[in-house]
Amino acid sequence: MPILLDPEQNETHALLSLFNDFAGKSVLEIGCGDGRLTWRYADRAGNVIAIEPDAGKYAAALKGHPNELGHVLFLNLGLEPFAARNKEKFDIAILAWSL
Amino acid sequence: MVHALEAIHGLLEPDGILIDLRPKGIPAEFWGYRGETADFLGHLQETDDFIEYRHAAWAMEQAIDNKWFHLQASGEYDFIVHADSFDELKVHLAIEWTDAVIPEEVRANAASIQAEKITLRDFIHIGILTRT
Repeated sequence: MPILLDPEQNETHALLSLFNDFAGKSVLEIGCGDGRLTWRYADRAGNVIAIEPDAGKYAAALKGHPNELGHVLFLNLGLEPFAARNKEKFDIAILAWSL
Repeated sequence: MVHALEAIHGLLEPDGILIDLRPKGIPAEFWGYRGETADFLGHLQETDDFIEYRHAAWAMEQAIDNKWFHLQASGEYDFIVHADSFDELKVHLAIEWTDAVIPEEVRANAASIQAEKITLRDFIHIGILTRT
């Protein structure tokens, strides 16, 4: 058996029980890792930019990107360089274990 | 960390939402399973004694004090990693949790009960904050 991360989906249940207003919203996910959390809410959101400074994790996120989630853009960037070049404002920011 | 929260404040719409997920800094628990029986094996240790989580909590308190964000709701959940062995878990932790240490006592406890499966239970905080 490979390593299983949160197969109980406690994270998804906790998130969606506290906040479930993603419809049509722009989301910035900071420190998305391999996209594990991203896939659990992205289908509900308008558009998603997910940033990850670690090249290996970013590559894993790209590799696991489901075709039906074309509205998700992964960037291999940390928060500071992203903020320096970004001109967009977001409805939602997610700090995914990254503060 | 406070600077990061200030940057996020600047990236959000005026009525935007910040969702903050992070470990609570309580030592994660190893559990060993043999059949239907689960035994507590001990706690994970960190080389820096979980200091980054205390810093993160402090930074968020500062951001709230600075009136960048208002806490709207909060909760917690258990994030559980399942593995067949400590060797498998060690490979995972080397990538995802680089300052994690599996104490020898935990391995010994697992061996003594002939654990067939190991879980690592971490305790996570989730906060929903409104940009102010």
